[in-house]
Amino acid sequence: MSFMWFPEDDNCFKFKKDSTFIDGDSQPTTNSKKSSPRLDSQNTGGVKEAAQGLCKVIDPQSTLESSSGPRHPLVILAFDEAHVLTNNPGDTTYNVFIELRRVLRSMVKEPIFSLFLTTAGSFQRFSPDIRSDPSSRVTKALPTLHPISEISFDTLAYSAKENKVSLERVTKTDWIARLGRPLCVDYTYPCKSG
Amino acid sequence: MTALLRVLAEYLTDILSAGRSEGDYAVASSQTTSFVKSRQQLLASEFRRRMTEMPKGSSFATATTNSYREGFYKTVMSRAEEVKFRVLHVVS
Repeated sequence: MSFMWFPEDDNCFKFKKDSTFIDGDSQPTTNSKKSSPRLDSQNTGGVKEAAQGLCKVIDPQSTLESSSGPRHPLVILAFDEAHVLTNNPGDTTYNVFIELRRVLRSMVKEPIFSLFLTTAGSFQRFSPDIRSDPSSRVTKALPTLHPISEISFDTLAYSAKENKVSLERVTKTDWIARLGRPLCVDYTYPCKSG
Repeated sequence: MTALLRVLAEYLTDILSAGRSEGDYAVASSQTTSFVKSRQQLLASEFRRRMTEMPKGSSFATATTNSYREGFYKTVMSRAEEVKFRVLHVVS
């Protein structure tokens, strides 16, 4: 039996003794089994170096870097409608999200945080039961984060203080517009710098 | 991902350069925590403003992008196209 070992903390393929790989177009031998594909970039610098360069632009002297405790994130990568990353009906053990997670892991030491947003109900592929995760490293050593599956209502609502806010006031458009959940952003509203 | 991070760094550097000439983003020799946080806030705010600014004369219903946003997207995609990948399979 031969197998390939994908180390947790770097981008390179490393082979154990008697291991082998084949290119995507090749066919495995009769007695061997072809795994899900793995992408190996050939002519690019590392993601880690690119991440470090980006952080250097924002915090050149690593002033916000903390050796212990929570870190101040310099960049937040938000993936909207991220459920499409898990769509790969042909292969249940492989999808773009798994590949993306592998890439993100290579810059885990940088103060860059990732946020996956989805309105779809099937979020279990992002945070699966640890025993069912296709990554053996996750199964053995890395716990997955629990999804934040709901957000509160009326987060932006004005406070309705008893005997101070009139019935007429709460029927105004600007009052009503702050009720419920902020599900979309009006891009015509300019962002004011703090 | 490499292309995205690198292009983002370039765009933020451009914002810093433009800001320096206007005196908004001057880089102090001693960078305190509050200074860096406020610099990060200004960078984020300005980048968001440029990415979401509506073209003049357009409305929310008719315009979905602007030239800055489109340029960012095209630059990232063209850099990403330069990367060549090998698809490998584990054989067992």
